[in-house]
Amino acid sequence: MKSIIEQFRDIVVQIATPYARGTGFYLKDADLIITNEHVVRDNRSVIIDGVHIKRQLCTVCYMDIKYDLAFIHVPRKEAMGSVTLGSGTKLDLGQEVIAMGHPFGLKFTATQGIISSVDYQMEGVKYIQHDAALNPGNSGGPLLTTDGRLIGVNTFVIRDGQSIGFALPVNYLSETLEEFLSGKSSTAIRCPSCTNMIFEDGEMDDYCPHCGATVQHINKILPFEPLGVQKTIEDILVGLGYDIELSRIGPNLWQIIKGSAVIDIAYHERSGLIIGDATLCELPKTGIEKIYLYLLQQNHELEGLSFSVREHDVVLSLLINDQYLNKDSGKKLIENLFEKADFYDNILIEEYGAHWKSGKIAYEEE
Amino acid sequence: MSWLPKWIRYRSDENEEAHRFGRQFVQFTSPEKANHWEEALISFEEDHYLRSVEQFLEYIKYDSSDNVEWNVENSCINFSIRQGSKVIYGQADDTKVRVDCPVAKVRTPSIGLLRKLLELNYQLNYSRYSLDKNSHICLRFDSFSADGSPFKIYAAIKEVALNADKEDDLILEDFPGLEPVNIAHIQELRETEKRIKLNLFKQKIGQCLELVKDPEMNSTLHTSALAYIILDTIYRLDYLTRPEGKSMVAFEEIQKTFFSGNAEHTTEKLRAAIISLEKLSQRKDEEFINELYEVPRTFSVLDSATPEVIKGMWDSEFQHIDWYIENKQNGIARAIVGYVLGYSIFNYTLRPVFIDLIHLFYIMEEPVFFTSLGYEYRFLNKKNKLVPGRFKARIKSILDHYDISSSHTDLLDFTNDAILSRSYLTMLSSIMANE
Repeated sequence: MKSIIEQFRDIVVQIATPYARGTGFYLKDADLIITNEHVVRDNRSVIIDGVHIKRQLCTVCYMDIKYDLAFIHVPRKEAMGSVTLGSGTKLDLGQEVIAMGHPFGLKFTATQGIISSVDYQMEGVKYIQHDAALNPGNSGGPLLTTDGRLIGVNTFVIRDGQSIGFALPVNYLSETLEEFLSGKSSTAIRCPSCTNMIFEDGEMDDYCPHCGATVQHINKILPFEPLGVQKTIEDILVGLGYDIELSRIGPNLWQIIKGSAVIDIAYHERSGLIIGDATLCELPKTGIEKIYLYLLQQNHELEGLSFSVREHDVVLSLLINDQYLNKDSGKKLIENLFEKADFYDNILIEEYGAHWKSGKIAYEEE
Repeated sequence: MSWLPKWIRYRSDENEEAHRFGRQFVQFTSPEKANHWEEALISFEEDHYLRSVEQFLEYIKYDSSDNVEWNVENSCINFSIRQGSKVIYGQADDTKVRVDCPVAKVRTPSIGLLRKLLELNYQLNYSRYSLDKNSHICLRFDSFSADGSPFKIYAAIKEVALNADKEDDLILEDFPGLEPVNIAHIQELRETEKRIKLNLFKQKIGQCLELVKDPEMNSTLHTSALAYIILDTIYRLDYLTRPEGKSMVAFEEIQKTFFSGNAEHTTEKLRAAIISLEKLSQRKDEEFINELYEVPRTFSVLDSATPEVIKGMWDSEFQHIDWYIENKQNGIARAIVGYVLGYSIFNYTLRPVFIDLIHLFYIMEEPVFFTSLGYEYRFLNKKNKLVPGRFKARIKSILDHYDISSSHTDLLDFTNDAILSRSYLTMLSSIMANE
């Protein structure tokens, strides 16, 4: 299983929009990233990040509500391996499968399970039902056989006592790709009513040319406009010189890379709290008591910031209340977090033996 | 006892003011308090930060208590706030607001303790655990005054107060290299009272475990009935003995086991609750005794709920109570009434009339406990049996005090203990409907 995971880890990517986070995977033969439509819905472009794809804004070129499929064009990437599509592979009940996912801000996961149905029907589409755990944000990730063939796209979960995952079988993907790649334009949607593919070309109205049903063309999607506190936070980040479109990693979530620190900013609308978490480094394997004492002592000296430990990471956090938030005071507070994060990670590594944070793989087996 | 709210002290004819039960107290609800809050907000918006903090302190101070103290000197306010076993010290000027609560002193640091504090920090919103130069574990919060609105200060100080008060007992018991700090204000209970509460604690948990683990009972009772018995027991014990530390946390955990959203079966929940109760029953007497003390509080751990929510919860259980009465399982019927009233008083801030009436319910249910503490009740005879007429008169005097019609007492039915409990809940529901 480990070699399969290593092979697919290279092609599995994180996807983020201002509305959602999810997973996707790169198909070399089509030169496209595959994911679910509900992951990229209402966005013409999305952020992609992966082992061989540097974080960048990429264009959505196909949306398909019927099969919950979407394709994304990636302009800049390094060489990546190809994947064997398992179209026509005979699937059996009880057969072992592997589900992979890597949402923004969360770990890469590979979970193992078994197939419990090969033709679960919902709204005229057959799905592979399996019990490999699907974590939030794993939508759009690949479902594989244990010998590394792609057999489906993980699409939804029913959480009823135990989680049951459902993947769109790969034959739907193959057929859709074939039709899309032979089309007359590089952007298309599938009409949710008559299921014909509609290529976007020239003047378009909001109706399917085949059946007249109302459709949403990709090229007509309006760009995301932040509102209220979201807008203030984004203005602060722009004021600090960051590319805001590349910073949005989900609903009310932003991520900034500052030196070696990864800083996540989350706005919780219900509580009115804006929380900035700078993940500085990983704890050392030995001599940990010394670093704990240092962090707690620093907590007594620091102003407005807090050191904590989350799993094996050292985190420096800031909290801002959204009431009375303004750009000047917010900028000062967030800038302070960024500066202190940059200052402390070197101390923790050089003097206390902490490690730079690595992209860790979590192997979870069901 | 000068810090006791007024509504508790009116019970002087029953000599109950010497003891407090449960975790309820009236918070900052008077018009004067609302004015102080309003003034704190206006002052903050006009950049008068010192006045804003001063008005905030007026808002959280009880008229009859020394739960909050402060002085203003050289454009700086120094204040202290009491919450349970902890004292919070603060300082505010035009630039900064700082709050510090010493939780314990570290004699010998333990890696487990240090890790726990750093993990707790990730859960906290406003505050953080720190170590000062004198090896005190402190819970701290600070803010620029310009960013320290009364809303933020309230939320932050409440977080410091509730967490420091809860964690100190837990870490002191778990980590022997610690010693308590700032405990001069803790009032010891009388030794006899502690022993009476300990005996009740052991007796009730013992009875509960015996019942829910009895194979014969297990096969004849629904799992939900066993859940009612366990929940009634923990709410009853919390109200009557009001322990701090591990017992309180265990009660909270057992409640969470039953009401958390995960989809475990009731039998799994019962198993987890039984394990928690067994652990409690295996603790040393002194460990429980050490959790019994009297302290002033500023902030409540309770949630607010509308009368409709509370009444809805009460009314939804009548069909179950009736089923058990009809099937001659009066003990379970009474446990359900104990559970719904216990749940309400354990979780929600209730209006004083309901606190008084639920208190009376517990006297009715546990007369021996109350009389052994030295209370005397005219509505109990020499054998601690209820005298219906006098009991009604007692309820009427409570209702009169709150200007509520005494006709609600007509709903009481003294046919037997289960029917009386059921009718008592009916009466409370009727009063709640008129709220």
